Amino acid sequence: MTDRLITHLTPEELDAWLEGALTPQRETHLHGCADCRQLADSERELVHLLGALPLLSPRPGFGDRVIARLPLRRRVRPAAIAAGLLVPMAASVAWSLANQDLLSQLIQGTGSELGRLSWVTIRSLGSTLLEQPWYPTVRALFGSPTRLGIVLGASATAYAGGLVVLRRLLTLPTQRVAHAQG
Amino acid sequence: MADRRPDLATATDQEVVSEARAGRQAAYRELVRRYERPIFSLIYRMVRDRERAEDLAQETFVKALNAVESYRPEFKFSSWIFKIANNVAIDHLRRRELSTLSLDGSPHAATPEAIQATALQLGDRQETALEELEARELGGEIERAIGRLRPEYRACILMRHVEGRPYEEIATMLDLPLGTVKTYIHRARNELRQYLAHLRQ
Repeated sequence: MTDRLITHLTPEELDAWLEGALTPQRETHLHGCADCRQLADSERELVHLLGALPLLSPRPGFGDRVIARLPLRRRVRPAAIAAGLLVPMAASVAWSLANQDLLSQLIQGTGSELGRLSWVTIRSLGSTLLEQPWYPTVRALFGSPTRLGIVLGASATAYAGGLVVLRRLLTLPTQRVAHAQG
Repeated sequence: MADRRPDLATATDQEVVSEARAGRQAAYRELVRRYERPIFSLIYRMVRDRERAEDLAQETFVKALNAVESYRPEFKFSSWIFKIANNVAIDHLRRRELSTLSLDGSPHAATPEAIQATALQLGDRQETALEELEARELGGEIERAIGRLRPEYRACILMRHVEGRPYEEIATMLDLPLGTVKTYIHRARNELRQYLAHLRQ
């Protein structure tokens, strides 16, 4: 009984038989063993049925629906980048050469106007600050080097603590993505 | 100026993937065209619900194409995308147990129109009406039998005997030891033989 069990085809040998790679010795056994032959025939039939299952189709437009869910990634061509930079630059240089007088007037006028506006803004901000009710208190706080040091130290500590807390809050949990490695 | 880009219809998977990485949208479409039916078939046979299978197949492609930069060309693209599809299907099955199979429409369809809309479109193997009917009935029996297998067995048997993948590739795709894959497939075949025994009689 034991000998008979041992000589029956193993699953690996059935696989080998399905692929036409069974050894001649085992082929001989297969031909002489009704049990193995029945099993092998039913295996072959099953494998044939599975292999003949049709491919199924999703509804029409499947590809469009997939593409619609993808973020568009366009190929950035070096020639397009160069053209995008060089053409406006060339146009700008050409216009500047053709309108040098106008350009110098614009630069001078704009420069002086910008300077005047900046000065007015700074003075206005300064006077607004001095008129604030909390200004004397804040000024007193920074009145001595010791106080200034304490305030700056406390501020730096609070800032660093805030950064640590934010980093912990914003760090994503690490999780292995099974499909990411091919 | 001569166009150095390869003809996508005749290019290898690796060439199409390279074009996709370079941002060529037609390459994405080509990858979807090549794999939409195998991926949909695998997922449908795993989850046994057409609507769900479409959603999961879409999810598979979106995941794969969004991660195409991380695809390593030393692996077959088909193995890579099948692995993603299997993960997506298994994740879904873990979340939700489905028990019935319908070739005629989703078991979740509530109206006759929805059932008709979700009916499967079989492949192109039909010859005559009678052969189509027979194939449909036989196919239905096999599909039902596959549906009764454990999801792990189902994935292995589909990869091996429907997709024709070698054992080693299946082991890599499913992150399983080779011996386990072989055991699963042999057990799945034994179970299928039992489920389909009445057909032989």
